[in-house]
Amino acid sequence: MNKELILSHISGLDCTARLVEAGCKLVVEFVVNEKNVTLIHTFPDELISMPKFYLSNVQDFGKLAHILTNQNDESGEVCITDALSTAINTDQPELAYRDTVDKHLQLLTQLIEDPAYNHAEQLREFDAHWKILCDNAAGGSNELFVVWDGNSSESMQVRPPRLETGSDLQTKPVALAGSYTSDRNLTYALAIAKLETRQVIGKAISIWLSHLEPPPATQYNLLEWYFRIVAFADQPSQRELRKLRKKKYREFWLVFSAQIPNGETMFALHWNACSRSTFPASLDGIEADNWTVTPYRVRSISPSALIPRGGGSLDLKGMSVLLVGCGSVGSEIALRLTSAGVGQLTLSDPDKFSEENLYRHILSVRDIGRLKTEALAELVIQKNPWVTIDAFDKSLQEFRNPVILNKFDLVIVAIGCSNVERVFAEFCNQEAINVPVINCWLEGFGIGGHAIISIPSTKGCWHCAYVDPKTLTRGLTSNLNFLSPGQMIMRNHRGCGTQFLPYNGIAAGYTAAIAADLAVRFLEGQITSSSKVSWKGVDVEAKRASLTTTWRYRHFTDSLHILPLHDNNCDLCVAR
Amino acid sequence: MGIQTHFDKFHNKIKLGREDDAYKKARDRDDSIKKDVASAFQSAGYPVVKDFIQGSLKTHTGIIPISGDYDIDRALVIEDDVAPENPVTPKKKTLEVLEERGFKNAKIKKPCVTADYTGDNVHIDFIIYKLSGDQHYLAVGKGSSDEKNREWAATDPCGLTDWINDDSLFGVDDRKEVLAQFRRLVRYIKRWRDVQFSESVASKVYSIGLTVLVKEQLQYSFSTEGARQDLQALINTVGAILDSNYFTEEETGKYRVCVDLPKEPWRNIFDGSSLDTGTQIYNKLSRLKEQLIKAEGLSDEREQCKILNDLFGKDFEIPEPPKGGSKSEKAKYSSAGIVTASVGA
Amino acid sequence: MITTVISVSLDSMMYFEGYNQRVNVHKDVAEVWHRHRQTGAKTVESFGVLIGTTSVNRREIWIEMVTTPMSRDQCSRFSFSLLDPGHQKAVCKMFYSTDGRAIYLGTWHTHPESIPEPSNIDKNDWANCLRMNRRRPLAFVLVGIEEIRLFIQRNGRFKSLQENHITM
Repeated sequence: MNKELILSHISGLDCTARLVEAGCKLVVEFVVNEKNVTLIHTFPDELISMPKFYLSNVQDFGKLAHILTNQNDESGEVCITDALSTAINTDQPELAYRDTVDKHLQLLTQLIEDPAYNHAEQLREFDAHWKILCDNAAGGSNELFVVWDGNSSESMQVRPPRLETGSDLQTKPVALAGSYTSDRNLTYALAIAKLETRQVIGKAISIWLSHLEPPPATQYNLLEWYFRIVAFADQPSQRELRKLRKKKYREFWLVFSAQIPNGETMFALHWNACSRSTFPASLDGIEADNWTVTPYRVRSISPSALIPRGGGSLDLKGMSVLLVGCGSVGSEIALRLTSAGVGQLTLSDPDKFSEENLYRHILSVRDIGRLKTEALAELVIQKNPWVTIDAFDKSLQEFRNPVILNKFDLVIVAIGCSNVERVFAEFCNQEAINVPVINCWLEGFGIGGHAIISIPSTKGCWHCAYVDPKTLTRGLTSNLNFLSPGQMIMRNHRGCGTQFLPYNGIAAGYTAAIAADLAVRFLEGQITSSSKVSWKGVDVEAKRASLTTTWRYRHFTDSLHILPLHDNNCDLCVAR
Repeated sequence: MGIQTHFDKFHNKIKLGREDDAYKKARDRDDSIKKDVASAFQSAGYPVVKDFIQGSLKTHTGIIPISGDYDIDRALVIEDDVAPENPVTPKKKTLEVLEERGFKNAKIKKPCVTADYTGDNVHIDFIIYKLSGDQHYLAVGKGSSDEKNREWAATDPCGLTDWINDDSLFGVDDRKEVLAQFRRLVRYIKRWRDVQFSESVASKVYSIGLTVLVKEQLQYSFSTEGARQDLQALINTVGAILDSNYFTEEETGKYRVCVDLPKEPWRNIFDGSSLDTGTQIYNKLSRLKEQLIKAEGLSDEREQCKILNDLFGKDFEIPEPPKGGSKSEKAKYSSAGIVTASVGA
Repeated sequence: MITTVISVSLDSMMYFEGYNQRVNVHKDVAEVWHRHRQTGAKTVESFGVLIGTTSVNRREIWIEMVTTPMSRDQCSRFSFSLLDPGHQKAVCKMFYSTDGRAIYLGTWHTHPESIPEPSNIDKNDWANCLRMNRRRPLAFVLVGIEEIRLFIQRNGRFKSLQENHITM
């Protein structure tokens, strides 16, 4: 790094800069509100991230946002941006330095000149400061799991850590809302925590704050700060606090929720007394009763926090989807749908899981011999606990019932058998079933897979995907297919009844992904007319097996694009 | 059904193949005359060494003539060593045979000898070649032609057929479909010519000229599923023809048409054609494109067919209007429904 | 008799779509709604019933006409009550003149907010309308100042359909 060059680049800015300690450090100085601001940077061996600057004499500035300090530190690290979101031109470090110093100038000037901005920014980074507070507190990095539905203000029971090392759910205290015990899915998903073996050590009360102050700089100010913010608790929370004071306790937790500029934050305080004592209403009561207060970070296990964080949509919680077929494609669809936030899933498949399904299916050795639907339901619940799953062992034919079908928002068929699908499609057409149906299937040899959604009363239907491009009339194989019809594509190792289509888990995954994507987009209202989507693989294996491809395969360039399903030559769509 | 099914029906009505019944009678006539001509050539000392049918039947682009007159292009080939020096000599011999068989209007034209079977609506062109090695020479000249206007002209009849039938430019797996679409387009355009031009002008808008135009500018069109889209292909092909260099505006709004043979003798197929013919071809092709685009933009099949019927004649049929209720038939109810004393806020 | 009503539906400019239902709105109806928007501070709520036809499978409905407040109705800026028998009369008249094709299809009313949200009173009332007209594809319209929203019931919940326009 050419430090002189860096210096000359910075000199254009509204500050003075110099090298000290034999050129190892860079000092930048400027004045805001008649205060001298001094930034110090130690040159790294190699520039791989934004250069770091420390603000000297932090105490002179009161509490500033974006400055990370440890207790008693004289200087604080200035945090100007998220390291992940900034690309550094390492070939021209002088430019990176000039930009960085410029950003520091602007940020610090605004923070010092504008107290309101400083306050809002401190709230924005509440969680980061709270974490520092917790890390510095007795015991260090205190964390409390809170398992709740994200709405209720009921009190919770806290169970202590069970182990020293292992899953965080076992090494941290867990606060459970009363609704937890009635949620069988959640109980099942959290089995690893062995909560039933952990004796309740106290209660936790959730407090909703209408207003929040930035966290205190040190633990010494914690109580003072607590009494300031607890004044902003809403009415029901105040009631709970008053109730709390009627009894004596040894320990309990307060779990706070508040709005900050960038969303909602949660944090907790653990109250501990030497002997059973009354919860104090003011600062004076504390010392008398000798309460110890410890800050805790909250790790919330609730649908309203975790579903959106994981990319799911809470809007889909009320959606009810029937998925027929739990093979390697169907089972992945189930996972992806619930990952997206679909809250009610009905699975159906008459098959039991067998060792032959193992590699391309997401179920495991221990599921051999079980109904695919049951094993899948358990797997899905463990991954995405806030879902209601019904499992049936019925085939698609048995769902030909308008009363049953019309209860669903969407039906997904992943059985890979066009003959049965045709019968079902004809039934839906004749009975004017009002529910959209997704059919998906994959072709062997890694050549590709397809998904179609037929939305009643819109242009395009199941039969549109089966118009023969040669005769322009209804055919027996789909016109979406990439392998020419009339070829032997099934493999057969052990005689009759053991045929299978050669494909791998990747092909199943792709196919499930396009089908689930159609489903979610439809449920979110993005797709309003019948559509189709395909993924196209390479034809290496197909060629090796001397199979020929269709026109569509050779000319297809729209992998993963959602296209209209309607075919101009579909006689049913004209009649409609 | 889409518009393609109507094109398919139209194509089935107009296409002419060697084995078609409509054509059988013409071929029978052709066979019997061919035998007489061959034996006359034999006696004259230049036996026919091979004969073949050339023209649209070989390229699968033949259409049933609108006039009802079936055309046969019959090629007769004699050996170079024994061929008369004067190319008109064998043509005169052919004329003699025809006149003996009672053809009143048989005559020698520059490239051939023609005969009309007025009773059977059969029209046969005899084309005489001599063969030297691999090279064909066409007997050019009329009965009255002097030495300057007659010759054995080097030509490549088989090469032209092969060129039209060539599909090597298309992907191996798609060849059959693309070539079939090309042939359909040629047939559509030939029928369009017969319908849109007056008989005298139509006879100057040579089929081979149209075929070469379509071949050179073909813009094939298939749906992503591989379903043929002849309307789209026709629009794009006609558009490409108009956008190329075949037409030269010699005066304002007057066009000369020039389409070179892609094989020996490489001459302009429309050599000697009038400015009026070129202009008519240009203007009518422009209208064809315009109307096709208009049809493409319509959603109602019947309305589309009306336009196509106007362009291609009665064989492009307009379907009957659908019987009974309209597309969006309304449900009938037994009661009007109850207006409740709704409240709202 | 039949044709007058059914043919006009071809002109509809605005339609709502989603949840397997398409609702076409005749342009005269859209015009009525637009006119009754609660823009000024003084205007009271406007409301009425929806009258129209449905396709045989009921997945598509056409709102062909709407009624507007009548003398015996009651209304304020924040509420209304549909009491005048004229609304039922209008429905019956359309029903008979279309040979049983045009029927009562729900209600509409205005809200003094930009993007209207149904209140609990609205939802309860709509549920009541559905109870009184079982197996009819009813729709409910809220006319806000900036947006018109249309709701239908699916699985016991009221869902808002996506608004679209066709350019003629």
